Amino acid sequence: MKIEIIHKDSGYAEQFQLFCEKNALVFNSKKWLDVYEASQIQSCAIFNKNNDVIGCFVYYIFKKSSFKFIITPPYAPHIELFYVNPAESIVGKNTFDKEISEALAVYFKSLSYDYFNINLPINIVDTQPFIWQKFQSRNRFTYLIDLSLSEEQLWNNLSSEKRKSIKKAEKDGLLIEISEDKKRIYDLVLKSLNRNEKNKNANIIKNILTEFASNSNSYAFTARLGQDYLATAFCIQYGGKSMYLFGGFDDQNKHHGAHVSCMWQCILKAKKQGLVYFDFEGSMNKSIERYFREFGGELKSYSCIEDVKPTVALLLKLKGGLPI
Amino acid sequence: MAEQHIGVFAGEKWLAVYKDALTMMGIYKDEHQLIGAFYFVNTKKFGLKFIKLPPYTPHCALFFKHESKNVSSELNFSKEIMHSVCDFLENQKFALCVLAFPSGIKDMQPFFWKNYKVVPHYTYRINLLQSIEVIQSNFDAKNRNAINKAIKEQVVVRESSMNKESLYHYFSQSLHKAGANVYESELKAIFTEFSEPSNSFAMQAFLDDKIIGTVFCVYDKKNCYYLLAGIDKEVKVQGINNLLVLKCIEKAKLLSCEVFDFEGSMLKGVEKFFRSFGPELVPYYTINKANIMLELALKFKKRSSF
Repeated sequence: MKIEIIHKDSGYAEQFQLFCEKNALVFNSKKWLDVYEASQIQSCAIFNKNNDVIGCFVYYIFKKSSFKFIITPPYAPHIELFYVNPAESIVGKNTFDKEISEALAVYFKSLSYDYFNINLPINIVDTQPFIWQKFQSRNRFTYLIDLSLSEEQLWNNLSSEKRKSIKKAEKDGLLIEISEDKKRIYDLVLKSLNRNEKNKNANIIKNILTEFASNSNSYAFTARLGQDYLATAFCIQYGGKSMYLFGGFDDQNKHHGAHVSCMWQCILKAKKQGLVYFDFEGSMNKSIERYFREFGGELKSYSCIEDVKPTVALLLKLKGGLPI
Repeated sequence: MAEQHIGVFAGEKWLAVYKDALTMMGIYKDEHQLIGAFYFVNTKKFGLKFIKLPPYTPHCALFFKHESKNVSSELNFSKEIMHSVCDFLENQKFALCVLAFPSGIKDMQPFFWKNYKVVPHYTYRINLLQSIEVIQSNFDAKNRNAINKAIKEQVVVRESSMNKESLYHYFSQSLHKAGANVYESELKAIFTEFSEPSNSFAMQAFLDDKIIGTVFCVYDKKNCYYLLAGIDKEVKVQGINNLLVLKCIEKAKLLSCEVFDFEGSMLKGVEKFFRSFGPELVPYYTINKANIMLELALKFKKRSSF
């Protein structure tokens, strides 16, 4: 087994692209990767002994104050580690999973970085090889809504506050509409990001909306009162689920039920499309976590692999946040 | 109530092993209604207060009942409980806290928010509702070969007929030889006060009537846990431990247990051995927190946990 970075002119680029298409991968797809600066994104293939592509993953690199950071690509939920496990027996499957994790852990350890923090997909449970390579394995959480439930059950699973907010929005005449107006969505998202001083990657959001998003891979709802647009929620669809990627609201035109109603419509649309789950893409931020929790999803953990050099750890502690 | 939710590790006899060393905490609703519990051990070392698990116990046995029908309320309730447990531990003013939680406890966010390091650990479990043929067919071929070799070498496994005191001495010596930490009084109490046929068994491997390996398991109505093992490393016969595990699995099935739990290991070699039995990998969480000076020291010594 070997791991190789796939550049545009790599001899394996075509095989790699076919592999991604065949397995309906999103965050390794060319369309998604194009939303980032090419120099900052690294797409990797995992090869078997016959040099066939059997897996892939992606990560993001940037430099800040002479420190090198390796992270999950911004706005992607994880590094989309995907591989075809050829084993048939349970023990064979477990061992192959272990070998893949081992190969990844060794690969990442060989890179030079000052800060390393990547999220693994929810189905990757075994992080022991990373621990053995002296990475720190941590858990993060998301909420998943099971869309096989009826609309009535989904409604009943909402907290009473969420139900009240949605009813209030309806009573006050808010219109919750599916939107293809990328600029409007972007403006609303940016308003929220600016408010929270988290607008560093606004260009990536713009690219996701203008270059990546299409009717076949994403959708958004906006809340409107007359001519005023109050809130939006943007979701992408992949692997049988819909994932809330970002949203926002206008604090000059606030309504308690605006964003909640957009989210509720996003959930209903995902259900109508026959998707299996609605994923809130998690949050470890206390207030956001509570907001998501009240939609009544199931708490699911996913792994985060971390390795921070002492100087950066100290600086981040002083700064009190993540680098991106 | 605790035994019903947690099983053997919350049973009176198991808890009695630790005598007064155990701090048992009830979780109450509306101040009076007991709805859950957990436990830990408070110790002092170099004048510093440590909160940790009792030795030979896999987790803090946290459980709680909830009666909400609404999913969102259930989530809120579970969050509230975890916040309360976290706040309680915070108020203990410890220098070091290291606790593991049962695998069913998933929501560790309140600990994350209080700057605990939440670290996944793993155990392996075999579903004993499958037939023994299916279970064995899931073994790694190398494992099956090792078992066959041991049988071919005339290794015989049968249930231990040693008395409790002798079993304790056997495992005490065996653990010392392996360089493991041995908690003598607790180990002794497990054999002499806790163990009886209704909650545990020991399987022993013999070669020419000489004991060459022993495995000790504890069990309840649902689970059988692989707790202790000792092998005579001077005997150069392959597959002794493999055969012992197979016999323990068979015994657990006879006892109508539904799950055989290897009790996990983060040691590479041990993990590989467990994995060769084709079990399911099950994560559970530990929380770690230390005061700043201790944390700095532990960052170097126990990097993956701090």
